[in-house]
Amino acid sequence: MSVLASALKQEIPAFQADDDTCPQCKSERYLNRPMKLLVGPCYHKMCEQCVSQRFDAGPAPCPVCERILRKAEFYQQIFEDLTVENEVRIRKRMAMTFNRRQEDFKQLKDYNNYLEMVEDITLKLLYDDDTDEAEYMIERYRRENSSIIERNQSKLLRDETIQRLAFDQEQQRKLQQREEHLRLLADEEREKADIKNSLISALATSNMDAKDIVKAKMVQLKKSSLSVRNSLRSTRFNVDDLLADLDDGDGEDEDEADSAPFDPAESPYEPVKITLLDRYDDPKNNAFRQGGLTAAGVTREMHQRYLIEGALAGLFVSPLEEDAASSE
Amino acid sequence: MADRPQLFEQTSQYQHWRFTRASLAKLRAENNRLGVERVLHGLRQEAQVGDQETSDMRMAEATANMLTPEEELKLIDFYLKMINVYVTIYRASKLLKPESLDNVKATAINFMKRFYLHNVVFDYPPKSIMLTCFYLATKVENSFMKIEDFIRPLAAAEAKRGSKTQTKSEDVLGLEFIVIQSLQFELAVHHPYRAAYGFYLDMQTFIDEKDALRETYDRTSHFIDKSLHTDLVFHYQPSQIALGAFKLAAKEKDLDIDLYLTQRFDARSLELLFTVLDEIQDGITTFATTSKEEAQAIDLKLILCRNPEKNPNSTLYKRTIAVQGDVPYVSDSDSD
Amino acid sequence: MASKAILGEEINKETESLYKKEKKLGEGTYAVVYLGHHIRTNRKVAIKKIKLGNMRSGLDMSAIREVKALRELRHPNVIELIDVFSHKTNLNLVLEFLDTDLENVIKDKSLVFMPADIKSWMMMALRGLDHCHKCWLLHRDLKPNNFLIASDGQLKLADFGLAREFGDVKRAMTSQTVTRWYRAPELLLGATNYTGSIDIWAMGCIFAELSLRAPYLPGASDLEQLTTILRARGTPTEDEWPGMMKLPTGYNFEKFPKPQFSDLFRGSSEDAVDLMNKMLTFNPVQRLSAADALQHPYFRNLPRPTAPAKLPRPRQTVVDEEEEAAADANRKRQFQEAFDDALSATDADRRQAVEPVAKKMDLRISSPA
Repeated sequence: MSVLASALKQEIPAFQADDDTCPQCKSERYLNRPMKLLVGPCYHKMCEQCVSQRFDAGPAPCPVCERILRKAEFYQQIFEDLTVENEVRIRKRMAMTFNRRQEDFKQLKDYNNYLEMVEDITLKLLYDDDTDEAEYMIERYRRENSSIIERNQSKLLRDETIQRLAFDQEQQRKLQQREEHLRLLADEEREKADIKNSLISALATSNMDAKDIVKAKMVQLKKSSLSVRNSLRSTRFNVDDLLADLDDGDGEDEDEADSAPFDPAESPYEPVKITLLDRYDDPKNNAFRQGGLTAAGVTREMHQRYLIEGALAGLFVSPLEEDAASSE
Repeated sequence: MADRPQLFEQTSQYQHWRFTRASLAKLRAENNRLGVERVLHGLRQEAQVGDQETSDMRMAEATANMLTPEEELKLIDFYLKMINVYVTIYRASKLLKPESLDNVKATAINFMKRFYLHNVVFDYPPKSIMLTCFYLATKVENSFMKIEDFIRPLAAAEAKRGSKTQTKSEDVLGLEFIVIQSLQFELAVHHPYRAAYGFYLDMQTFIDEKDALRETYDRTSHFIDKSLHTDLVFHYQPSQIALGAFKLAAKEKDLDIDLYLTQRFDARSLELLFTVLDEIQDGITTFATTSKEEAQAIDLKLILCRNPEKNPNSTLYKRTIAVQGDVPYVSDSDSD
Repeated sequence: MASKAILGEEINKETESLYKKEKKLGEGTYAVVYLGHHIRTNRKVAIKKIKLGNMRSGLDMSAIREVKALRELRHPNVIELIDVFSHKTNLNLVLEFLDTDLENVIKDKSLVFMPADIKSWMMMALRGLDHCHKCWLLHRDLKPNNFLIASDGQLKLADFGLAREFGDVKRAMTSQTVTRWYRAPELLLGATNYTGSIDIWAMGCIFAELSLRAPYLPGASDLEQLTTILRARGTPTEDEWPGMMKLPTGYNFEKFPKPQFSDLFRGSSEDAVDLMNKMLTFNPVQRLSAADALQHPYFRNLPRPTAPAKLPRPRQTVVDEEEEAAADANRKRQFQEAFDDALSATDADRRQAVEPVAKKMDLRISSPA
C-alpha cells in the first residue's frame, strides 16, 4: 500500500491564466490579482463578484447562452481544458454512487458487466446524450443499492484514514530518529572536545614523552567514538533527505581518514604556475573586443595561458644521452 | 626538483618518439636490412609463380639496385616536401581553412617520418603513403573532409600535369590501417607553432621593441616550417625548437632575445638551454634537401627493388589475392 | 615499444596476441565490447572492437578522437587505454575493465545515497575532468553513463569519442555536441568556440541528478532545452551574462523568474547547493572551473567523502524475498493496530479526517522519487 501524496487529500491549485478577463465586468487579473474566475455548466466564465451579483437572488440566465443557471452550479476551474474539467466532475459524481469494488463480485464477469453499465451511463452524461435517461438510471441504482453504497463509502473512509495514520506515523518515526542522531552526534563532538582539552592540559603539565601522551589519548578517543558508532549502527535505517548532515557511521578507519590531511584537488602531476601580464600586444586582441568569444567563456586569459604554457612545456628537458641509448 | 611528473611527460610524443641520433640511425639501418630481406623473400616467392629466367633477372636487378638507408631517407624527404605543395592545393580549393594549415601540414609530415621508422619504402613507397598520412592528418587535426572531396583536387592536379596515374579513394583509404598501425595508434603530435606564439607574448615582459618583435615572430614560422623536415622533432621538445626558430628569425631582424632569456630564466637551466638552442639552429640551417633529379633517380631504382608481396601490380600479389581472397596479412586470433 | 618487432605490422600482431577475448559484454551501432584478459598477467580487460565501414571515408572520426585522447591521458579517474591493435579492418581498444556506471547506480532504486556518497563521486569526477582540462582537452559528452565505476569503487571518465582540444582561439568547433539534457547554454546559443565550462555545466547537471535521483533539465527537444533551462534557473540578464546576445542564436528570451533552489534540493546541504549553483552559472566566464570546484568548501566540509570502496553499488544478487515479505507483513500489522486505535475515537475525529489537509503539491514532472 503506498503512503504517497496521492492517497492524501490535498488542495489542488486552481487553473488561472495570467491574462484572464471577466467577460462581464471586464476586470483583468492583471489589475486585480485575487480575482477568481468561476465556470458554469455551460462552460462560460465569470468572476466571483459577478456570479454573486447575478445569481444571489436566484436562478438567472447565463449572459452568454441564456441557459438558466443557479449559483451553486458555478465552480473553480482546475484543468486548463474545460472538457477535461467536465469529464473529471462527472466521473467524480458517478463514483459517489457507483462505488462497488471487484471483491464485491463473485465472478470477474459480473464485475466487468457492472463496469460496462457504469461507463454507458457516464458516456451519456459526457456527451449530453439522453441525459434524462441517465439521471433516471442513476437514481434508480441509488435507491436499489443504498446499503451497499453506504457500506463501500465507509470502507473508503477507513482506507484513507489508515493511510494517513501510517504516513503520520512514519513522519514521527523519522523525526525521532533524526533527533536521536543529532543528539548522539552532539554528544560525540562534546566528548571529542573534552578529550582534546584534557590532552592539551596533560601535555602542558605532564612529564611524560609527548608521543606517549598523545598515543594514550588517541586510544581513548577511538574507544569512545567506537561505542557511539556502534549504537548508531543498531538504529540504522533507510531514509535519505532527513539525514543531510550526518556521517555514514561505518568504520574505524574513518578516524584515520578524518585526521589525515585531505586535499580534494589532489593530483599525480606537478601543477603549472604562470603569471600573466595585464596587457599583451596580440593580433587576437581585436577578436576579443567583439565580445562573442568571451560570451562563450573564451577569455584573453585562457588564450594567453594556453600559449604560454605551450612555450614553457619541456623547455628544459635535455635530449636523450647519445651514449646511453644504444639498444632499444 | 619536482617529485611529481610534469603534464607533458605523459604525452606519447615524449614517451615513445624521442631518440638519440645513434638510435635513430640504428633503427633506420635495421629497417632497411629487414626490408632488403623481405624483398628477396618476396622475389623468391614470385619465382615459384613465374618462370625461372625472368625471376633470375629480376633478382639480379633488385640486388643491384637495392636502396641504402641514406637513399631511402632522401626519397622520403622529397615526398615530405610534396606535402607542402598539397597543402596549398587544398587551401586553394578551400577544403582546408587557413588556421588549420600549419597543424595539418606539420602532423602529416610527422606521421610520415614516424611511419618510416617502422616500415620500409620497399614495402610501401612514399608516394602513396604521403597521401594517406595527409588524409589521416586532416582527421586528427579536426579538419575532416570526405574522401571524395579529398580526391577531387588530386585528380584535377594530375589531369593538369598530364599524369597517367589517377589516385582513387581506395589508394588512400587502403593504407590507412597500415599507417595508423605503424604509428602505434599514437596520434597526438605537438608542434612548435603554439610555443612560438606563446614566446611572442611572454617576451613582451622584457623586450620593448614592439615592431621588431612582431616582425621576428612573423618570420619564425618560416624556420619552424623548415625544421619539420629535419629530425629535430625526434631529439628536442617543440618549445625548444620554437625558441631555436625564434633565434634564427631574430638574427635576421637584428633583435636580441638572449637578454630576455637571461632575465626570464635562472642561470643553471640556461646552460643546457643555450646548448640545445645552438644545436637546433644548426640543425635547421644545415639541412640539405633532396633535389628532384636525385629523387627521380632513386624512384627508378625503387621500381626494380620493390617488394612484390606488397605491390598490388605484381604477379605474386594478384595471385595471393586470388587464392586467399584477401591482402596477405596473417593473424592468429579468433575470427570476427 | 618495439623490443623485438620493428615493422608496424609485426608490432601490431604481437600486441594482438597478448589479449584473449572471452565473451561479448554488449553491442552498439558503433562498437562491440568483449570481456577479455591479458594472456600473461591475467588482468581483466574490456576490448572495444570498433566496427568500420560505417563511414565511407575510412577510419571513423570518433574512433580517432577516442584513441588520440586516451593515449595521452593517464589519471586514476580517467579510464586507462591499455593497448590498441587492429585486426583486419577493425580497430580494437584494450581498456581497463569496469563493470558498472553512474547511470546504473542512479537508477537502482534499492540503493540509498548518503550526502557523503554524492560528494565522493563528485570529487572523483571533477578530478578526472580537471586532468583533461589541464591537458587542454574537452570531453564534450559528460553524462552519468559515461562515468564508469571500478570494482574498488573508483569512478572513471570514459567514452572520449567526442573529445577534442581547446585553447586555440582560431579553430572553430561545432556547437552540436553533448547529449541534450547536459548541454550548456552557450552551446544551445550556437557558440563555435568554447572551453571546459561546457563540461562543468554537464557536471552541475549530474550533481543535481545525483541529488534528485532524476534528470534535472530534461528538455523534450533541442528547441525546448533552452526553455527548460530558463524555467529551472531563471532567465539571465545582460548584466549576469554579458554578450549573450552576441552568440549566433541569441535572441530575446522569455523572461522566467529565478526560483528558490533550496526548495527543490531540500535534501542537499547549503554548501552543496551553492556549489551546484556556481557550476550552473549562465556566464561561462564566471562558471567554476574544475580546479575551482575542487577548492570549494563543500569538499572540505563535513561529511568527508565516502571512501570509494564503501560506495553503494548496484546489487548483483536477487533480494532475499522472504525477508521483504516478512517486513511487509510487519508493517501491515502496525497499520491495522493504529487504525483500530483511531476507530475508537469519536465521530468528530472522523469528520476531521475527511477535511483535506492543505498542502502545496509539487506539479513538476521531475519530482523526486
